[in-house]
Amino acid sequence: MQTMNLTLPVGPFDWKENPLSEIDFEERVSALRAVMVKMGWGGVIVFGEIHESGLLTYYSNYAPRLNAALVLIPIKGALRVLTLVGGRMVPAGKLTTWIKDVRTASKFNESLREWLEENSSSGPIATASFDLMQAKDYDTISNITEINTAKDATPYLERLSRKKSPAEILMMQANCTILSDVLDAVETQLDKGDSPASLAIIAEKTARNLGAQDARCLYSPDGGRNFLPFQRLSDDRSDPIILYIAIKMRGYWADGFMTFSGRPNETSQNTLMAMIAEVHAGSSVAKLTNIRDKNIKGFEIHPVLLNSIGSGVGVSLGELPHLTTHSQDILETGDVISLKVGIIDGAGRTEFSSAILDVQNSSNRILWKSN
Amino acid sequence: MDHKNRIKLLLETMEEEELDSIIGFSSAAHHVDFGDAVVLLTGVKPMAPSFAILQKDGSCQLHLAPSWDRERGEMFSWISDIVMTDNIGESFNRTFKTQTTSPDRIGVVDLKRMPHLVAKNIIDTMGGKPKNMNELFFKAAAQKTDQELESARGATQIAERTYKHMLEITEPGMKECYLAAELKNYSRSIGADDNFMMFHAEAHPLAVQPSGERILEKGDLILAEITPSYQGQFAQICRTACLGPPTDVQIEKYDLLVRAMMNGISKARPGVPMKNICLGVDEILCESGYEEYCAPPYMNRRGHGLGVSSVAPGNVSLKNETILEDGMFFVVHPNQYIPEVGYFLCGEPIIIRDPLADILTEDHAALGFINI
Repeated sequence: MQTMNLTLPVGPFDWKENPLSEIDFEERVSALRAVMVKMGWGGVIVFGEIHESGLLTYYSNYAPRLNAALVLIPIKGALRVLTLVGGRMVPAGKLTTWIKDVRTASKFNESLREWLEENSSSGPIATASFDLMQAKDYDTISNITEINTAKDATPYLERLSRKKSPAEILMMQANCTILSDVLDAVETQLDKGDSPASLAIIAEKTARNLGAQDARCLYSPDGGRNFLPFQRLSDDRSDPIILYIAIKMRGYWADGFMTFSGRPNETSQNTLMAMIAEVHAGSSVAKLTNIRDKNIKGFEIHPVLLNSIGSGVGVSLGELPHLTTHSQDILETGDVISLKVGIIDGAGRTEFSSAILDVQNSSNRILWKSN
Repeated sequence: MDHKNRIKLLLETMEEEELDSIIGFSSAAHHVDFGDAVVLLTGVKPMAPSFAILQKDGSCQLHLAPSWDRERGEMFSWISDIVMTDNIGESFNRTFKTQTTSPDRIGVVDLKRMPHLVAKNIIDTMGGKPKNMNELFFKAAAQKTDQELESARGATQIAERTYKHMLEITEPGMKECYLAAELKNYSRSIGADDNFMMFHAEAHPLAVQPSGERILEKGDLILAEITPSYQGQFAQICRTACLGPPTDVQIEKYDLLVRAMMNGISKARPGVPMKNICLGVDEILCESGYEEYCAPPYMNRRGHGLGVSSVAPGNVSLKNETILEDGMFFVVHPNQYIPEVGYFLCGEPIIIRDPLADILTEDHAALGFINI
């Protein structure tokens, strides 16, 4: 779900407090290097923006907060982080990564060339997530032959980050606990008659106080017909109250819809449960979409979920498997998915339900489910 | 000044530049240091990459993503022609095919802040290199509208209340980043739609940094660059507080910085170049023997414009020759490393008025003190 990008994320980013170990990251790099050998690549450069740093985070844990960054992964030897912030901000960035070599790339072209020259004998390089790079930055490096002829390694890296390790699952469980705590905190506040906008603030506050690095809500001002990011205080009430929240903690995301109302959201809940029953390795996204479509009798798909039944989640909210309605993807063991059902009838009555699931061999484990 | 006057200024600029239309892009990666062409042309702060086209007859069309965001688009926009889209590349191609204007009579703003493949697609579709209008476009918006100035005052009040909240709740043993998060939460609860908050503490800081997980200790200098946005307009205050009693030297040096700031602000009036403010700040610091510290890495800039519509008139720096005009809004902050004490933050948001700038804060910067 699209939310408003906020400036300068605030929260616990330090590497020394991260539950993942250096060994976890070295294993990721080793797996990538095996692909590099197979593909004949001498190195891979992974780009990340402030608002979308998934693959950069996956290999470095580096958190771009003031400007974009890259992790440079040679076929052998130490990794390097290049950050597009000025040198004064490098010490804060260093605290967020296991990689020792963190440098400013205020002269982006020169910094990149320097690394490419150091690794020129190892073979051609590949790039990942470069489609996120702003044109003004790309233009400064597009005259580098190794860059403008580089293969796109993104699909390979997405594939490698897809299967979640036990340590990652634990982190995502912790995120789901935050979602539950957010739900409880909002429910506690309901009796006080707070508006949806105020409840969105409480939801974000609860998540941040529990360690979220990012917390972004959408609230519905009109019982689920429309969704807004918080832009101004409002006392306007609505029933039901529906919130969407996405949180990131230690680089990993979790998200979902929450509904607060005395009115049951039976159809969406039943639809979601029917979909969950079919979530296991080997099940197709197409099949889950069919189940959704068959179960929403009397309703139509809500515009916010028109082309989607959710997403894979991890270091990004758009990971594999792709849960778009035309996706050909098949679920695999180790996938973590965020399933969502959002429906609306002719009278404008809406229902939303969602769940985060750990896909297993012949079943799944529910990490979190909405009310 | 209102948005209609501003659009009029933009149309005059278009005429001078012989343009039939201007296409303003927003990457939706909002930042206090950058303007946003879509906000400026339409009043809508996009959640996803979007664009707006201003024609020379004054008509304007917004292409807003994601497609389900229409309600908000209509709520905040002062234009009625809104096209919803989930793919701005396709939306642009469709629109451009119906245009009869030659590419050399089209100006673009912030196209280079879009993802590079999107930008390339747009340039290819136009069949030629469009004229980059960034500088002239944002310069035409250097004077804030009355609404933006009112929002700036609201944002400044939020910033001051947030700082007071910090003084009330801070104690040794707290993690820097959790305190920063609490301040972000607090500012949001009183109306901030965003808060760019550099917040950092240590006994002898070398610069302000994004928050980490360091635990606050007695004797820390807490650096707080509090930058809330209210109704889409950022304002910034820069403050420094001691966790525990300040030393005499800290008090003396902070007073020096405040004097430097006020001397700089005293130079700010319509008709003078922006650099005069910087010279005013440096004058006091140089007189006190800190000339060599009036340059990087000991300081960066002496202030800057504030987004999100336009950050004109730019940085408070010696290189900025921009002539100040009534209604310009920016922060003056002589944030500075002083060897005896470390890095201090000290800054106020001001509006250029004749004969004296209007300082928006109720309580001007003074070295804060948290009793423990």
